Amino acid sequence: MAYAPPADWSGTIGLVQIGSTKAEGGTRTISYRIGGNGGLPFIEPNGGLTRPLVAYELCDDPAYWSPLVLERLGATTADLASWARAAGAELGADLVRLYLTSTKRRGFDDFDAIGTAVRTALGATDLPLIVEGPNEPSIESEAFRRIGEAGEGERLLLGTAEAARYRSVAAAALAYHHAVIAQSPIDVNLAKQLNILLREIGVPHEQIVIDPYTGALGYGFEYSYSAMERIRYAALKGDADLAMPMISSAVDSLTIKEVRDAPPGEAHRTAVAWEVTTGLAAAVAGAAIVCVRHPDSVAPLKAALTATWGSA
Amino acid sequence: MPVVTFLPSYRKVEVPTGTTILDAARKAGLQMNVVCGGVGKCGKCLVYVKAGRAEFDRQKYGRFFTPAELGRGACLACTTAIVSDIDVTVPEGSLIQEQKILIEGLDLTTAFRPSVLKYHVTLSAPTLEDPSPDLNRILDAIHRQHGPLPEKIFAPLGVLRRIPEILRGAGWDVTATVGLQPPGKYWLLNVEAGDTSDRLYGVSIDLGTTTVVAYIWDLVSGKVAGIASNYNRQISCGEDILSRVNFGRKSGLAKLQTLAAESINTAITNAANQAKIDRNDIYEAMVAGNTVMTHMLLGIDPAYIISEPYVPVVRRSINTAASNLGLSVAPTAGVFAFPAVSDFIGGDIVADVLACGMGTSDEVSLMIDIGTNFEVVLGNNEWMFSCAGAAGPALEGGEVLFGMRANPGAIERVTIDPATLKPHWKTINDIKPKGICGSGLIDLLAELLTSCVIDRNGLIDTTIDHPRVRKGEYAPEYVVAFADETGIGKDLVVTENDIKSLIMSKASVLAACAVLMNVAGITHRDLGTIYFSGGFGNYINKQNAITIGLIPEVPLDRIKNIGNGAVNGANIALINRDERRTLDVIADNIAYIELNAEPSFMEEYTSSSFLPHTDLALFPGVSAMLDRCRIQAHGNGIRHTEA
Repeated sequence: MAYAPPADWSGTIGLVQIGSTKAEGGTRTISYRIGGNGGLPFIEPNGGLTRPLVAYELCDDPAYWSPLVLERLGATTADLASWARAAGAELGADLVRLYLTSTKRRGFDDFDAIGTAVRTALGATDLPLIVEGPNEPSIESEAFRRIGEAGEGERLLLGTAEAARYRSVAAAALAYHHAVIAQSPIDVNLAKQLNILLREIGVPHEQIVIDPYTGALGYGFEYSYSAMERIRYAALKGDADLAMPMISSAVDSLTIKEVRDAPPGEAHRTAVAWEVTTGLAAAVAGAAIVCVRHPDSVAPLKAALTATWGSA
Repeated sequence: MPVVTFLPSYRKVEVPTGTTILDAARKAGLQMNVVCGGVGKCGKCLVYVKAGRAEFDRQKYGRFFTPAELGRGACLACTTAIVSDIDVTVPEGSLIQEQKILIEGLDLTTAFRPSVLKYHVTLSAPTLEDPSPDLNRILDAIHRQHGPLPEKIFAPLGVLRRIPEILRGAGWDVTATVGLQPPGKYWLLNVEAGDTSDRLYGVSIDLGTTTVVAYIWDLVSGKVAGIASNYNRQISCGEDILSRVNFGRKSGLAKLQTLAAESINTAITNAANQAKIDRNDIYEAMVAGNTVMTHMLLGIDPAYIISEPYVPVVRRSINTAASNLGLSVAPTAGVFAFPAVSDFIGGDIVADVLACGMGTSDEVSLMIDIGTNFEVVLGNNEWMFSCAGAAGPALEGGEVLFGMRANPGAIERVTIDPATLKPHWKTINDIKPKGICGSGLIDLLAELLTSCVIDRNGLIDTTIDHPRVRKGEYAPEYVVAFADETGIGKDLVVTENDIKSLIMSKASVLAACAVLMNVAGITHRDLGTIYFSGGFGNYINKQNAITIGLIPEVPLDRIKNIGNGAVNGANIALINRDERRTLDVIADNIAYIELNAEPSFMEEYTSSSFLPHTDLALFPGVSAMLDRCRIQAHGNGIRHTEA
């Protein structure tokens, strides 16, 4: 039986540029334009321009990171440049997502270090960069300004705007021409509200990527899948305030009970299985970027996405 | 046992050690303001312990007061336990004050067909030749002098016992009062000496959780003779219905029944005094109250209404004699209690429906009654759906830092100049502001939104560089009045938390409207008139109610206030007995939608938790206005530009 779309789509997902090549004013060897689809990815012929991208997540202060990753990568994680370099060159990620975990330290005020970290990551990899700033109100304004400034011209994807705090990250994105991750807690209406708030303070749609938020498979992902599906349906039916590409990161995949309680030697395999499966499902639900943390997750997830994409 | 002395009134009361100041105050007859029901949540029952020992947990509750207040011995009456003899100062603001209650001219057109009549008759004295009984003599005289009576007239025992003396004492010149009472029987309600036929009254009563309103009607002339209102004295047993039902479980229903009757009696007495009439000339009382209040007045246990599966004892209309309820009107006067639709849609709402006339119109109307709880009815002469929910106390000034009831000193109107962010307010009685009441809060929300101080999520834009926009101690805040402008000596602010409470309240109302429209399969474009019932509707700025998305967007001229719909409905039923007959049918025809069981409610609530709504297409006018406001706000130079 031939596949019939669930509705007559009238909308198209907007295009968002991530990264900037030399020709575009930056220093990346590649830049992406995510979104652009007028149908459901993997299912419909106009489901997307390119295969969903895999972002590899790392941080500038590994004290706050999964021990599995630290164990697997060893000394690499102690040096941000090496880690960022490995993400592309060794692991084969499409993008790098840098979490500025150093800002979580109590009394953090070393704003210069933030700029340095962003520049270090940009220098170490030629892939487009996603930068996750702090979520502490007292420092975020200055922190995002520094992040934005350090990445000027590189078309970063800045995270994360939430309904309760979006002004600082939006201001940095507007001032330095970056894109913004707009995260809302697994609800189509809340996603739309945040996009409206961002639009109303001047962030154009082509600078917004929706993060519908998720837990790992079995830990809330089912709700996220449904929220993502609804966001995609609403956008394809013509709701412009939801017509942005989506990013998904099931960050708790490495810390769930199944991984913690895995028999000795099985933890890595379990973590990777969970991350890859969740990531693949997120892409099918409509995510244009899926993020992973375990170094062994990148290759299988990319392979799965490529194979599934190719067969669609 | 410690003795508590309440200042400045010097009321003394003796209570066991460990009693809270609140309970002692109740015992002393002081009506304290306890919005939260006395559980340490609202911070409204401020008292100062002047001498003696009392236990107050400053760690836990100190946040309600300024350091200066704490220094003077401030504590919450409800959580402070009395240890020794103490002196307690009760500031005026902590007591329930006379409330501004809607009392407006009636604009009703309904047939004047009361169900009680008086007949002045002159009887012949009985003789051996004409020995017919006293009762027959009266009825025959009525028949002879006033025309045939429709049916047999029954006489209650209490009246029969008094007849012989009255007839003989009055020289056989008497006035008989006859009432038509369900199920369609005529009763001889009284016999009085002489001609009293010009003194016949009825009363309609809105028995609210918070207030009681009474209208006395002259049933000879068909005019309102007196109006009065007062607090429901049950407030001393808890502010909200739930705490009162729980009070009844613990301390017995009798107290609540008595307080309900006494509250009504106070209103009747005040209205009667105003009208200069005798309460004993009132022969009929219509009572419209919510389901629980009606149960309590009738002395029927409401305990099973408030917990699953939420079952009232009765929902049809009830008739009884005033003497059964302790109402201070003629003892034989009939009391008619309005029927209910469900546990949460009571007789007050059926009265609203009667008052706005939506049940007889082809046009689809939406009737919204906002109080502590809200009720919504949607429909027309063919179908009606209703639902009810908790709006939270925010719209009545509760759980808002400087929220207050509509008492003197409450800011009831606010505008904000978008260019200077300077507010202009009007207070009740035009005195220095003490707080903000519901209509003022709605204005504030709308004005803060249109002047772009808050975003559509209710968050204050703290990048605005202006003395009135501050980070605040607990949350960002907007200064409505600086300390020197107020009557309370401190800055009167509205905080981001207050705004969130308000948005939650308004979202529940709008979501309830949306759920009913979904159930009925209509959109806001199909809506004819939106009726507001309750005092709230009269003071509310209609445009602002739409701007914040409290109600669906419709042209302003299609929003109507029916004033106190409960009492107006009772008025109609009082003066036109035919309308009364239809009430049980109306109540039966209103379908009740349980919001908790309605899967779309949470979704609608989330969409509505945005100013005015997530789907801007539902608020095209507001949406266009806000676009203009944003452009204006960015041009006025008082905010940091975002980029």
